[in-house]
Amino acid sequence: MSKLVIIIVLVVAALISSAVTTRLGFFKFKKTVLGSIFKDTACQMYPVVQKEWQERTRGAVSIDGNNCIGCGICAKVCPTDAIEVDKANGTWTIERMQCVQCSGCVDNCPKNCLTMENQYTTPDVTKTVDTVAIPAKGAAGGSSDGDLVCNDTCVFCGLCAKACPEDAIKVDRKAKSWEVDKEACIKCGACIDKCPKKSLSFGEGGESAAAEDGPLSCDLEVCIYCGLCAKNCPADALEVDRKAKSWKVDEDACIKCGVCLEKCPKKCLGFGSNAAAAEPAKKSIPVLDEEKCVYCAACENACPEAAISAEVDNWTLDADKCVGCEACVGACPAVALEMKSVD
Amino acid sequence: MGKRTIIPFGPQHPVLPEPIHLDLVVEDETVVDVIPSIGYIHRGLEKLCETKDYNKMVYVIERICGICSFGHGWGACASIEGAMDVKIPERAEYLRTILHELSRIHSHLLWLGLLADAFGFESLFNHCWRVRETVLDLFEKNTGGRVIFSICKIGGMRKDISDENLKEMASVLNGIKSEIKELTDVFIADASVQNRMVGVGVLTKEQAEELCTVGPVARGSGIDQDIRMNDDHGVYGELGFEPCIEEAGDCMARTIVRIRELFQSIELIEKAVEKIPAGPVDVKVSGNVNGECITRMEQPRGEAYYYAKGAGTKFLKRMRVRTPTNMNIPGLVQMLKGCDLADVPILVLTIDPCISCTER
Repeated sequence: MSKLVIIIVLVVAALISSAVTTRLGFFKFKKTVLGSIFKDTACQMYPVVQKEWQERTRGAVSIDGNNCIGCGICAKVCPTDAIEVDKANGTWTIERMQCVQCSGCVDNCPKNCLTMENQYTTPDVTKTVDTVAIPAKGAAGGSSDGDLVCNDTCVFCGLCAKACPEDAIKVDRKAKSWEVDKEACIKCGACIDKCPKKSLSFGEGGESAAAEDGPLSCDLEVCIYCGLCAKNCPADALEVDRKAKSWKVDEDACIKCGVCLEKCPKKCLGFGSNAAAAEPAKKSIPVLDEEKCVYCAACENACPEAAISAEVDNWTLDADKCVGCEACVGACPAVALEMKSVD
Repeated sequence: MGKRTIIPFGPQHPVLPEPIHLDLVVEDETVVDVIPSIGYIHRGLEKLCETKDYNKMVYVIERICGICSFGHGWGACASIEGAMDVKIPERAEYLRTILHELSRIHSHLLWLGLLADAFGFESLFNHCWRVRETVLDLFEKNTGGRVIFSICKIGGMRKDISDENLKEMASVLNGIKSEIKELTDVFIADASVQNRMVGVGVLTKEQAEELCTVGPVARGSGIDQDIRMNDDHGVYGELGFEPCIEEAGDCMARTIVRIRELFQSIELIEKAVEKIPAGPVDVKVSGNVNGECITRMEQPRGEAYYYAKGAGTKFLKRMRVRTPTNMNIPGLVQMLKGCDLADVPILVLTIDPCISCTER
């Protein structure tokens, strides 16, 4: 009742004011004020009504302890020294009050085991320290006691240096030299995962891979000239021309790392006479299972030939452009693509 | 002529969000002299930067100020990028410009609210901050933080903002334009506001020039000065930027400059969202800083200056920041001379003081 009276009084006042004092500039605020009477409050009844956090909200850091290799990069990049990694005892510790939620640790984690949750930690009256167990020294992961060493199977491709988060490895392909800065090396093992020849290890000389004999060769009958070998060659030793149907290797430049063998969709590459036997070339193209497809366009991005267009509800394939390299099948997260031969 | 009395103003005062102390020498009700003193909130951040890896330092610099934190992050990154000769991708420049202008909107709305609070218009204050909340939500959605964004890094941006989100940002800003207009009309036309601001604290163009004022204080006195015109950072040249100038030099003029800048910032963001090119948002930066560089930025409060010097080690030799409030305090002292004691709070606010910035 009293609210009604106030409203009536205000409306009357507003009418009089707009009639009398428009030119004087009084009651300029009346529109906003009158509007506010009828609107809901702008504030939320927190904590009865919970705020919805955004996907990107930086709430609190969490860790998947099982994947952690204890490299300590997170502790190193932390601007407030909130994180402590004790590899010997297998603990990862964060001081919640110290953490400023910059998410620098999350960006730099080589194993992606850290995540920035969009939920805040519950308010606390004491300084909280969270400790998470991680695999202890030498238990798992690539890391162990010794320094990083490289054995004589190294082909100086430089992939380890590229993978190193600390820039501790120097590789000179021409001078055939491989060096590690032992001070800078944090033993994260990222290089070991990347090495195509498995020449790297901590401590002893690493697994010895059989030396590859003879130059790189390609079974041209099987080859579909997709170019994935040339694209992935760290030494730029390969040249593939699809139109001219030519495949060339610069034997001097080839470092025999074997990356192309792994990447070849048709397995038509080999060293010397070891060229893998494959079925005769029969062109096959990917076929989409529309029920499974989520139209994420991962196939479109993976296709080396831009033969796929993955617009929502409209997935098309240019069969003439398709070389059957199966890159799309490998990239599809929903397993919606299958290769079928064209008759 | 009355007896001279010294009235202390601050460091704790209802209009001051941050501590600054003024000794007001008054005769009757008129202020005749002012002795400002700072030193209540010095945190030693410049020194701290010298003991941190230069990549971590961006987080420290961002925390100089809670209102213009993006501009500080950008300024620090730009000066280190300059010293290292790093060229960042164009999309990153656009994103930085958009976020910087968004910070300006949030800063000016905050300031308008505080000003309304200073002359006792509490409901106007609350409405300004209600609108500002929309901008803060945009920030949280796109960067992950409401006031400390941590999205700028040396070499570009840490995260891309998708085109859909940018379009949404532009449409949300377009939506609050009418609400801002409704509120700013009150500031410009309401008689009670005019009584408190028109003709109060006049700083003439000559005085403003002589005292090296910067930002909206200088522009409110008719000085054609805005670092965004220089186009040495961001994409203001491509967006067609013109500074907002008012001639009167009083409190009202400074307020109108900021009000016009609010709408100008919304326009700049809309233009930038239309023009933003696709592409990467960062480049890999390796090695240490070896060299020095000066960057100037137009913060919401005026020109800020960043100087970074490295000597080839992980730590910077020197990181210097000079903030706009530092430059505007002499102007403030000039404005206060001869004003009524009752006008002091408003005059202190019209330079938009950020004492944490000033002392770092």
